[in-house]
Amino acid sequence: MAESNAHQILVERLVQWTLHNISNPDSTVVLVDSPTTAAGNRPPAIAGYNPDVFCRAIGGEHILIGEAKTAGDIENKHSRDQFRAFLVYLKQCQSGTLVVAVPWRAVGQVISLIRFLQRETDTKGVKTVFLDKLPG
Amino acid sequence: MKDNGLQVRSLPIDDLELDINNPRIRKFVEHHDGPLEFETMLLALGAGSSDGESGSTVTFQSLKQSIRAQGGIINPIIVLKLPSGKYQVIEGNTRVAIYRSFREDGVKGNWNTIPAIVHDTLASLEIDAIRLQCHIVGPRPWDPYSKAKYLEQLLNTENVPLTQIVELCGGRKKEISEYIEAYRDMEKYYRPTLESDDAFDPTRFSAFVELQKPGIKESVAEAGFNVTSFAEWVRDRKLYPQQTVRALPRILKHPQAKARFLAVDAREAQKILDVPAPTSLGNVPLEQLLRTVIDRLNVIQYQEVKAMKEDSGGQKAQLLLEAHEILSGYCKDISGDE
Repeated sequence: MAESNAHQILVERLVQWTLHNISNPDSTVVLVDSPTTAAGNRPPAIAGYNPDVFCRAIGGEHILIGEAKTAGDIENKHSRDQFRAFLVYLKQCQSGTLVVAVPWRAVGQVISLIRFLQRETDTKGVKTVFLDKLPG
Repeated sequence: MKDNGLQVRSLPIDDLELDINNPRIRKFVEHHDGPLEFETMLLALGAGSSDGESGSTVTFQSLKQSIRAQGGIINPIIVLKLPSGKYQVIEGNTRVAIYRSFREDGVKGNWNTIPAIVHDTLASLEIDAIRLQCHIVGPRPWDPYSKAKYLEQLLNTENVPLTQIVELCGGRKKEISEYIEAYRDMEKYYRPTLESDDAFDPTRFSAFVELQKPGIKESVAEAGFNVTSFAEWVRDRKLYPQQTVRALPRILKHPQAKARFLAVDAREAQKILDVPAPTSLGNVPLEQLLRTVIDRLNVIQYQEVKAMKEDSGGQKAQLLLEAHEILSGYCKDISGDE
């Protein structure tokens, strides 16, 4: 499976999970960074990094950021900086959740990385969700 | 690929013709004058190499030891039936060579026949497809942690003796022992440091393999820490990338580097240690530098080696081990050993 294709599958699962778990779908905006998304509908950049999914209820306070990573793309500087930026941003929000989608075999690795970054950035209070049993 | 005419049979090794177009030996064949005898082919396939147990990948010697311990091969070779009634080996030349050498050396066992998948016909493209799938794509390897877990299970749950495991793995005793010890350390010290079990990260395993190298554990203890401290450093990614573990003895002996390591990480600490070489040395061509190092190593006194052994965490010993690691990698690349 090509790397970009594998990433796209993870993003799709991320979107499915988000749509299934938001409490008020009619008043919630879900922005997805995908090849078919129009430029104006893409997730906003957060400290220079665009997440794969950005979700916010209209008039609501809760922010959800979703990020998908293939197994080979977890442990590098770009990913660390990106996760750091998302965690710090979500800490500043009244209520925020970081949802991470990686292949099943890399779940432990990404949990370990996010927990480390949470300690490092003092963002332990940010809620995190790690999707399980994904292909790749 | 067509499957008509495909059979698995036990073939006499005297009916097999080794493939002189085998990519593994082609570069040798191209520069060889005269007829290719079996002994020459054997040499080309790696019998003459002294790779022993130093390598981390499957070598001629380790494959040989594994086949001997197993009493045969597990995966059949792949052959093409020739009009002469003999068989051309498409995949498995090294294994056939090993069988023949066992027979000639009188090694105990049946080395007269070998399991083979027999093709009655194969187009040139199909032969290439077999070679590509076997050597370019290859089987999907297990990750190192899973390998170690399996080895440990064989040893402790199924009570397979270590000597037998080592034989089945082709004699790489040092590597097998390090894997098992690393697995035990990771389970005993790293897992309990985690907030929850789902944060267990098997990709940290190589740090624990590095921990088994000479002088590393000793240097951790000498600096007043223990394996739990090491596990916490791994968890907190102070030892990232994981080969920075090799620099740990030097870091922990250097007060400034140690402080930097504990405050930030090993990569930052290394910047304090790695003072650039004086310009006079930095500009010397590599050949000259290597010549000087070789000359120096050739006259090294036993007392100096003994001193390094006693202080295996010391700067000299650690730099020598680091140089060995780097040189081994380059030597493998240069000699084409796999």
